[in-house]
Amino acid sequence: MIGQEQAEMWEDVKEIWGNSSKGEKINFQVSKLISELKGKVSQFEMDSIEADITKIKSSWNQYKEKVSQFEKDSISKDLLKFTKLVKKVLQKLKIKK
Amino acid sequence: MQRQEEKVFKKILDDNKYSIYRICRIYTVPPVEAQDLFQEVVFQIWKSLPNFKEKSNVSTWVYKIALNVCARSKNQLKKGNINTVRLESVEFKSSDFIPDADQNEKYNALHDCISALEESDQSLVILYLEDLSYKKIAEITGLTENHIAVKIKRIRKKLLNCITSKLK
Repeated sequence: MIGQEQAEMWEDVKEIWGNSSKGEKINFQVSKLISELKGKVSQFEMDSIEADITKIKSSWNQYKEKVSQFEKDSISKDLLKFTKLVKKVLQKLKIKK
Repeated sequence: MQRQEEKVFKKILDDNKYSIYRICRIYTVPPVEAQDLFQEVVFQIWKSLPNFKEKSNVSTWVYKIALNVCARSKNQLKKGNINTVRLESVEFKSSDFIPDADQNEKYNALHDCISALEESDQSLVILYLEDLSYKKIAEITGLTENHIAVKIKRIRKKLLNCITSKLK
């Protein structure tokens, strides 16, 4: 009896769930949407990246006095290499598009 | 090539938009609205499209993205503010379907009771309400079918008790 009652209640819940998207009609202009998406970087992601950078910056202040000039120069060189590589990849991606 | 990409993307959205919307709606916590989350899910589907493996099922893949985005946004909201992407080309219009007060009350109870569940249980019950088989739920969650069956039985009971007490 309880099982039957629960089964009926569950059917009711399923109906409520199914109806929960019926109040909206959702339409897309797909070609426009794709152009829009190609030009977007989600604020959601930008916020995450910004939070990471802030964290790195604050940690860096703790350590920067303890880093030798040699290490600083090595990091600068590595960064330069890395930036060039990223630019090359981005360039290639642009050409592909 | 571009036309093909456009066709695939359109089909994915058309086939899954209302499932995505239902999931977004259940994860909505003010000030974020279901429509905001929906746009973020569309954006993430677009971004993940090049990595989509044809061998896996499209809807399974879409459910995974929708659940991840929605759960993540809820966690971000707890930590502070959240900014979702805005897409002008996605249009929301009210339909002719207007739920009555009783249906609204029941939906609110369902929303509150699902929100009160643990995060992993929320995903399971949402997929079950979407009428997915245990096999598909297993593909999405990585749990075994037996484990899902046991968990669903328990969650279902918990959810019904919660809804009943809210509607008294």
